[in-house]
Amino acid sequence: MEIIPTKSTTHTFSFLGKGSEYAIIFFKNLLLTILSLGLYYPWAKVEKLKYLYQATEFKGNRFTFHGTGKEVFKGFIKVYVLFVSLYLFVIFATATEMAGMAAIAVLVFYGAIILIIPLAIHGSARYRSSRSSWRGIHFKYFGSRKEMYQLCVKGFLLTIITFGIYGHWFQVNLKAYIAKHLKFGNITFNFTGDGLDLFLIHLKGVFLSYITFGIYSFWYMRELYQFNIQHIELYQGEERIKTTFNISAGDVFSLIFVNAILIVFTLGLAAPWVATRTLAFFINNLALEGVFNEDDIQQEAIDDYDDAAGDDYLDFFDLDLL
Amino acid sequence: MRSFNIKYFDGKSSKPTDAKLTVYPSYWKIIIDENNSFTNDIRWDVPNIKPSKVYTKNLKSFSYGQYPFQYIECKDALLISEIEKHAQQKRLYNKVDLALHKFTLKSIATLALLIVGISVGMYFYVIPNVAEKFAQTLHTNYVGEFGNFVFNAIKSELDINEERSEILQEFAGHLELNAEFPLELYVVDSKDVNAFAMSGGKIVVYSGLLDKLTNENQLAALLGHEVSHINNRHVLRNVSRDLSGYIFLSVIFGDINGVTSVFVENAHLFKSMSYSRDLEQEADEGGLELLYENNINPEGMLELFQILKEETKIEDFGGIEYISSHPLVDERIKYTKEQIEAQTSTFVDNKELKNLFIKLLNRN
Repeated sequence: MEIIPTKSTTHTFSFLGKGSEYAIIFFKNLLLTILSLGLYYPWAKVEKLKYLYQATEFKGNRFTFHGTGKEVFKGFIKVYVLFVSLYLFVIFATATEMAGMAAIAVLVFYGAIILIIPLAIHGSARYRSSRSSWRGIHFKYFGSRKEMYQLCVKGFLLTIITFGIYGHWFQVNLKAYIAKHLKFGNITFNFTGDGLDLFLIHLKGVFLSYITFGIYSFWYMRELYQFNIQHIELYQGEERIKTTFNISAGDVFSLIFVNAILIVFTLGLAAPWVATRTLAFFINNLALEGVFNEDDIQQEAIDDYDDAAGDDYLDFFDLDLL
Repeated sequence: MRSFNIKYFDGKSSKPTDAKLTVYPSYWKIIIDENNSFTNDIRWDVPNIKPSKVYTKNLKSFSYGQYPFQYIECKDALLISEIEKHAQQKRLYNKVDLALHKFTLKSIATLALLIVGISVGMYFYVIPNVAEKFAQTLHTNYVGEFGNFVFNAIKSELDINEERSEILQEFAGHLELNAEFPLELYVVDSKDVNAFAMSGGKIVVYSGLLDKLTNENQLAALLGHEVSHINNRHVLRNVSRDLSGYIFLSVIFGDINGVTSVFVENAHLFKSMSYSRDLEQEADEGGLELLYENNINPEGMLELFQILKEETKIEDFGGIEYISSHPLVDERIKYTKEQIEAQTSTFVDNKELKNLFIKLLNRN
């Protein structure tokens, strides 16, 4: 018989990665990337993700990243071809020396880059979810490409018209859309943040940081992290499970301060240690709170999505969904 | 045969099951409950097993088959040595990775040294040489097109004096300059004391500099210097070296982090400035040769430097050679003097050049 928990309890995550272990992977990948003039990047990315997932533990078991170098390589080629053709287009358009052609070409170039972003977000969310599992149960993103497109176009336009103010609502809507269309087996997600709250956090944060010569910025970042994480909810059947992220401004300070010292004084060689410290900060402080039964998550129909192009596209701009 | 304690997941539910794993040459056997002979043993055929491929010291994980995967986790470090016994299972572990993770600190140090060594070699030797070779062997037509492309982009910002440009063109026509490209000369109305050459034969002289010149030898020296830049494809060489070096560095250090890239970019700037100083010296020397070939008094070059020296005195940059793209004028005077002293030559006054020079000054 299974024991069904009825009491709300706290369930913590732990990050078990070590800087020295990750440094081997990091430097090996860097070496191979240099020797291959960048072509090794897809395999490097996969090994990095596999390590970081596997170093993350919940209830005694680890996460797994199932992506392969081949999948990421195919996506990488698509992104590469796209950028090369966009550049060639601009160069040829400029070379025609026709009046206004150069301006049109540049407009098309940036237009294309922006219009592809919603597709990339959709693709990245599907690929990463499909390739991530814990205890053999997979994530699944089932959002629609069309809705994502509408959301982004509306978001971009309103953000421009309102001089950036709507950007906060846009960000929140985007997170909510992704969360509502994400599943982990039969567990569903929700994001309850509100655009106005995010706007006020930024407004207060910038103002107070300014008048305290930056000292308030640690409280500001703490609020921002908590806003982004603690508004995520999980549902197991009828049970609502909340996420908590209990950190102090001092924790934020020591994360950022020590990271900066490590990078500056080692000319960047400490990058792998900085990466593991940072992940440890986020993962070790993350917890689920509620009536939750980790042994009773059922696998649902899996979305076997192997197109990594969207994910690679976002890499290109250093954007990371997770 | 050894068996290992594992956690088994069937890919249908998140419920963990304690199990025992035994490794056979062509398959793995997973036994869920040793005491119950009614449960079926699970068989994993080696070709369908997927290793996690990363070996954290305290955990190995494998998945099996098609979506949804069966999945196992094992904390026993000896599992890998058991797999190593079977030749068919080579795919499931990586000897290099195992070795690297065995000697953690030594591995990190070796890898870091290799990265530094190879990057230094690539950056200082391989990449500049390949880039130079490329610039030197590129077909004349392409070099010309590249020059036109750049020149057209900046042309609208230049206040070109057509009349004086024509005279300057005629002046250059009377010189034997052995140019690889047909030369196009422009006089630009500007207070700046400057002149520059572009790929594919374009030379721009600012009126600010032109009006400071006092004889035709100085102008010939100036053109000699600029033509020497063009003949040696200096712009293209500089651009291709600079760009390829920059791309290489951003590939490596862009991967590390922002702070490092700032350090590296500044170092790169210093290096490319020192390279352009070398190119300037090469152009000074080439320019002087052209004066000799045209029987023009080489003192024109020294006088030109003197004019530049007066100018820099007024502006006073503080004279730190390391952060300048041109060598210090004194330095230029010194090596040019040495070159002149080492050579004997005859020179004659060129009436046509003199007349054109006077005409040029009068159109001020």
